[in-house]
Amino acid sequence: MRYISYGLLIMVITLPVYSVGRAPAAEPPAAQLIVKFTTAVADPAAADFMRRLSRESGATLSYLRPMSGGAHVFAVTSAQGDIALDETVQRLAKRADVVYVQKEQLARHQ
Amino acid sequence: MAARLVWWQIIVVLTFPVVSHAAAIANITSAEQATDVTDRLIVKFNPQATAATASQLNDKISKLSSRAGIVLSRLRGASGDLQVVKLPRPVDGKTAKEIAKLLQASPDVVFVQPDEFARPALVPNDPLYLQQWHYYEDSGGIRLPGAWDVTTGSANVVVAVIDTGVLSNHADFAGRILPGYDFINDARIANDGDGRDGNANDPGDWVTPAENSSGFFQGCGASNSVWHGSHVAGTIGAASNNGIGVTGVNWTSKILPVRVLGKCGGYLSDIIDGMRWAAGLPVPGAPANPNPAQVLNLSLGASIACGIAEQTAINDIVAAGKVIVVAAGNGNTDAANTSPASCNNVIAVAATTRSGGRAYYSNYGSVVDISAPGGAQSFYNDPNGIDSILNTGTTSPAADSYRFYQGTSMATAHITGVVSLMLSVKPTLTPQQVLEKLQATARAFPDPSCNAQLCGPGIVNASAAVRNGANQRPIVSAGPSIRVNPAVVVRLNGTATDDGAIVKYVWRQLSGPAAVLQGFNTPSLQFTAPRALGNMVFQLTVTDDGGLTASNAATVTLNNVAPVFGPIANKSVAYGSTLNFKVTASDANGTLPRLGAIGLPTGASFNAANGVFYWPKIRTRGSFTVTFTATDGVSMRRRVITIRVY
Repeated sequence: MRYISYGLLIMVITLPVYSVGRAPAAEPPAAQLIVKFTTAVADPAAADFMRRLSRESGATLSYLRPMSGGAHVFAVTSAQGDIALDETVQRLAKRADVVYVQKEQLARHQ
Repeated sequence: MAARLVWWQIIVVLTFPVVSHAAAIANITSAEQATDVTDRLIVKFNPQATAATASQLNDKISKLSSRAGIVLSRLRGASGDLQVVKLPRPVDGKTAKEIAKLLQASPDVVFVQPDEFARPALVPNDPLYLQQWHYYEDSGGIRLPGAWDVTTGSANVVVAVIDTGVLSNHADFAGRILPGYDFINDARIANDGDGRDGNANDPGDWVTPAENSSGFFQGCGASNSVWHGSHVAGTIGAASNNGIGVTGVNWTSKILPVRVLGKCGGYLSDIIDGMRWAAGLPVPGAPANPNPAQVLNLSLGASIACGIAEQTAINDIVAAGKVIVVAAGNGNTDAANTSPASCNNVIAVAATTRSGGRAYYSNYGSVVDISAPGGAQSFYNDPNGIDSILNTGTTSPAADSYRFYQGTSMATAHITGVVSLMLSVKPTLTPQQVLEKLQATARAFPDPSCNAQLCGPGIVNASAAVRNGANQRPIVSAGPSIRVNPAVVVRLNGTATDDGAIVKYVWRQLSGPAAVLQGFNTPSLQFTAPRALGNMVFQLTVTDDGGLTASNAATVTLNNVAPVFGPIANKSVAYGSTLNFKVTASDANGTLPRLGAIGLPTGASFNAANGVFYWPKIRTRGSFTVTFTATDGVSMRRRVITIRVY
């Protein structure tokens, strides 16, 4: 929760005791992607597929886990900042075997 | 249980459509399941009648009885030259209004209205209830006591709180929490020593200054544990009317905690999995949810527009009939840039203050669907926030406590609670219907800082939403009353409308000559009109998918048809012979016609009992005209013949 009108002084004194929300995080602690593939991709975690996916997306991707709804979570370990991560997302989005790709985001209580 | 008298407004605007007398009579329905019940009307007669004696007043009321087709009796006079008139039995408010509308057309009457029964609104005995202004205050509250008069929740409804987990051992959660699941995959964020597990308790989400300055949680912001999920869950469904702590919006439906937020927040991928699991959809690696929720509370958000991953999950969940309520966000910015508030098919909630204005932190804009109290605080534990369940622990849980918080999270919890009450009274409501009813019943913003462009159509009105959301009694018509001739095939086409579905039709004959009924379990009844006279009354009773019934009757009047003669030809006979023939007649209404003859020649006779005409040894030549009659007591038919004697 943001306390805008009462200024920083109150925030410093009282945070976090009566403020339940916090300013939205700029970035998650670790960059991750949510990707859903077409049925053409039988095993997104396969090593060969991961190497090819990393090479073609311009970042080192490592498979983390399957998600509900048929998507998968990947860690991005070598993309540099927003621009590089966005470029990776765009490259993946253009692939014919990708249904959708989305940057992982950290949500916070409000 | 304490009681606070909130007298219902007596004056009722009579807006129901005009119905036929028969409809008003036959639609008197059982008041067992109704919330507004009365057995009385208030009548003001015109001035001439007002000055009348008791006997004359009784005559006036007798006329009203005839007009309504029900027995009304005078109870007593009332101030203002009013008369209190008793109905034959208690009826629901709608029926009472229909009867009043019918009587209103009487020339003797100035006005008629139901004498509605006032009763106290349900108020809980929880000691902190009076601090929960957000439930009952006129300016900023949500009109919750009126909703509690209808329902305090159903055990068949489950509410998922997708948040930081809950403090299930809090005394004010006793009996209220279902086993949930912890979907936080990263053990560092989970803060409970592992990744996903079956323990949805909140271990605390504190971030130390050292963690904030470097390492995995760098930049997250140092904070104590906030017990956010417990605060939200407490508003939705704290143990209520138990003499402890605070009151929840819903006292009965269970809370399903789904832990997705930990230190620094929670990953979207975990939240999506938690949402799907809460709704009963499969999640890899997680056990099937034995208690799928009907409504999901997401008092969380990220500063991004809705992405395809969460939108896909939301679509799947809503397609499964679940309602998703989300916070608009606390950034004082357009909620179009907040997810999941900006996703389609969710109910996005903005926060209002104690005076009903927009809370200074609340996001706003076209994606906001409705507003609810989130409070606005100026200092720690400012009572202008929302009071709910908390814990004194600054890191790990310590002692039970209660605190005032503010936020669109808190506003969201109010809407979720109201939705759970709506679903308690009508489980078949679709997510779209829930939203429509919330918006249609919202009350206008009392403060111009909120308007339809910023905060949705208004502040939720729990009482109106629950009553509107409740199953409405069907409206049924057995069709118009008709007149038919005997022996014809008759079809009565009934119609019924309902806010849900009609699941049963039953026709039965209440009175009149018996008929063999076909299609008596369908909207259309068919039978062959009996050869009889009189009125046949047929009643159609329909039952809706919520079990409410309504009846309406139609009268079929059997026309009287004049008797019909059997064949009678003109006669030609020889002088001196004897003429003997029999006259017959039948009646379609089933009566035995009474026969007669007019203009009999001299020497001729007619036996009305057996219809025999007898003229022995005819001694007169010429042409004679005889008129035979057949009557059923109502109608008469004549048959004229000529007898020629040659």
